[in-house]
Amino acid sequence: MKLKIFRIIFSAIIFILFIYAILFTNKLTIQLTNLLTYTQFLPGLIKLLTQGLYAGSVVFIFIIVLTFIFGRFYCSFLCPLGIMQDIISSVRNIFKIKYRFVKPLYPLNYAVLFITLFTAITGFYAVMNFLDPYSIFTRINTNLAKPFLSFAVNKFFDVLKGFKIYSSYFFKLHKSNSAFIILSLFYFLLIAFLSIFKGRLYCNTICPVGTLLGIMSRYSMFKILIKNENCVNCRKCEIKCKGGCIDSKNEEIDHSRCVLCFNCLDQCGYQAIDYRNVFTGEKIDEKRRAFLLKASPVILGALTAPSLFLRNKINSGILNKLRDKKNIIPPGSMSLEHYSGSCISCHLCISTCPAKVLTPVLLNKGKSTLQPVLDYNYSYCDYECSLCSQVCPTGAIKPVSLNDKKLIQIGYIDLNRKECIAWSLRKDCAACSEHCPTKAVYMIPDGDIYVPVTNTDICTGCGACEHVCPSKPVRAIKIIAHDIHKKAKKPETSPNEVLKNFKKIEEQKESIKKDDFPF
Amino acid sequence: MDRRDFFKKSMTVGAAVGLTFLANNKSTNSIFSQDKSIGMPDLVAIKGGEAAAMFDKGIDAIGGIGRFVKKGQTVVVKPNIGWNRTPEYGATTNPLLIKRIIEHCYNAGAKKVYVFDNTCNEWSSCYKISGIENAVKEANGQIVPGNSESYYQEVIVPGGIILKRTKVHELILNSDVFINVPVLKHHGGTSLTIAMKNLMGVVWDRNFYHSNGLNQCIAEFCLYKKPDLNIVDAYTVMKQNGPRARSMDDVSIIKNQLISTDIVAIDAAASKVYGIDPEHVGNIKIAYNKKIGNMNLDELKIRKISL
Repeated sequence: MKLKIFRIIFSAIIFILFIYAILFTNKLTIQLTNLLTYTQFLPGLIKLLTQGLYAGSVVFIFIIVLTFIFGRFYCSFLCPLGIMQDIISSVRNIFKIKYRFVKPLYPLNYAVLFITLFTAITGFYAVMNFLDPYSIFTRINTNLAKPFLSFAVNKFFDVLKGFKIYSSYFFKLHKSNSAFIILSLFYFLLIAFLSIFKGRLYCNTICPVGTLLGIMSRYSMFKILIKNENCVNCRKCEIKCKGGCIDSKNEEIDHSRCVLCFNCLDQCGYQAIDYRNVFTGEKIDEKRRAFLLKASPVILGALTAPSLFLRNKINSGILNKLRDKKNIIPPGSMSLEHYSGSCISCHLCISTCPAKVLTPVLLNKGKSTLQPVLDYNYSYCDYECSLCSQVCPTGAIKPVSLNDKKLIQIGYIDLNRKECIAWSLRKDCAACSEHCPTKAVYMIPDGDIYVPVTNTDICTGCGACEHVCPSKPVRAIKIIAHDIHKKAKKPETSPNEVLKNFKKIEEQKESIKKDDFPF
Repeated sequence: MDRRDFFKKSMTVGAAVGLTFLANNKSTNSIFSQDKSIGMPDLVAIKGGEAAAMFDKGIDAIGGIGRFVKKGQTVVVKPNIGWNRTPEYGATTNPLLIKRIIEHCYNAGAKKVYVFDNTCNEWSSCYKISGIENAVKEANGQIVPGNSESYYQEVIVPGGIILKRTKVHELILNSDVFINVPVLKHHGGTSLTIAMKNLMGVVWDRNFYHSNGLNQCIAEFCLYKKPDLNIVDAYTVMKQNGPRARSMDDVSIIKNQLISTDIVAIDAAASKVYGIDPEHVGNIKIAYNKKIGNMNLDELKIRKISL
């Protein structure tokens, strides 16, 4: 009873915090997101592998250690997708639908885990990113819940506006891409369906994190155990087990599939089931543990080893050919190599981005799928913002301070004078220069109008110029992506050429000192 | 002595106007206001004080806020909130000035004072970082977003050659009084951005302006609507790298302010304050030729106040 209530309260808090952190963006949620993602398995693993030991990976190691002590607590206490399934499947209580023991599907378990590991190590993250529970959860929220909510709230404000109530905030939606909405909807419906009818079937057959933690929990110190001498095979525990891992007929529990929800504990009237340390008290019967299962981690490791050798071939060869366009990746992601090697496509940056310039693409150059890139057709990267780098859980976008971010060149400006309204149509425009934060594109007088010229050294590639360029259908000004980010020069503070036409600054200062007016 | 006398008189006139407005009903108000505009300066130039203090003196000199805002009216104040820059860059209108203007409006009996801009950078960061959202809230004004097309309604620009129709924020259409509060600064495309350029922030499709001749469109918009009152904030002036500024080196504090009902006159005066001939600012010349206002400052009655 105690353990179950603790689990419900703990997981409810985690879930609410997750939803809050993903759906809203403010100073608090940035910190909150960091704290929450520290506890997540795949981000922790990626961080450990790519960046070595530090705060985030310590939490990850701690979770592994705790799993060896307590079992698969992660799935019920920390995994937001798991908690979501528990919430959805609670409708079963209303209809009093019973669970029942499901025969293990180890071949499927291990096949999925094997494919995930094999492809991930070769550098193709697609399978991993598609199946990782944390990423699925954040993607559902970013691509489905958040746009839906923003849309609804905006509609509501539209109604309020009709009554002259202006205390409203219009939320900018990120570029709605039907592919990602459908994908997220598919995931949500699939997992909702599975959780209602089959409990934690996703976690116990497909989820690679679940399988991996399941292997560990076979050897955990604490386990839920049935005392054979007390058990009367009443199935009271089995019908409450959403993992489908209690085989009450044979008085056995499959610990690799037990997610530690503790729902079974208070069901037994004969004190036949409890959660305790297996190394104290009576020894448990291990006769049914097949050799194959014990050796499975070793076999898995041996099978995935060849993937290391295929790594470069797949990286540079096949996948590069699949991309159609050079995409611009966010400041802090350093290079395409680093970015695609660390990004697990959780879309947290997309959700956070205030300018909504980050948009997922199906295939980016490199290994990852669903990766966020900058879409200057839709928006541009705010010069005064580096939030995406602060929320990234894997360090795919490395945390950069605002001052450092202002000197990162993610691409460079390219002006096509033939398309330019000022150069070719001889009309005043200046939209690009107006928006440029560094004046990498600036206006010079040419006859009776001003025309833009560029200085690529100080360009950050923020895309403000490209986004606002009114030239149609082809924009006159474009940002060319860098595969490896460069350092932009700090804009010089000396007056630019525009000022030569006007009074010199010194003269201006003189006139200011005088007490009279210039008219 | 002469100047002080005039000042005292204008103060009493201002107070009297304010009191009569409070005492009279709407129909008589309009007659009074017409009377008061005769003999008032076309343009008031103030220098040497803090933004709010300069406005206090300046608005009195032009007949008091009561000349423009009557009891029970709704007011829309349109500052420049185009960029997510802190106030010291002069990229956005001085928030202290906005706050003071709203306070004056409420003192004159305004029912509600709205403030908005269709920003260039992401709107919520502009409203916040510019300090204007906060200033408006402190003065009990209502800050209104301008980032949704649903706020904008299509209007016809009478006599517009290029800008024939455009979508305008509903507050401009529905409010009784329209006060335009630009900040004087350098602009790469139009040399300067002042009062007329600031009105680009009340339309939805700014790209139309850029792709069809910026100066021409800016001037033509005034054929549709001229603000009832223009207040140019030239306290902090961006000398170069406008309209966003790269660093504080681009900025000078010159502590000037201009108030006028003539949008062309105030732009002409502001460009002189900046230090260039209004002839060199495309939109001022076009607007003058279209008889939107008078750019010849010699022909205007100008009150100059030094604090």
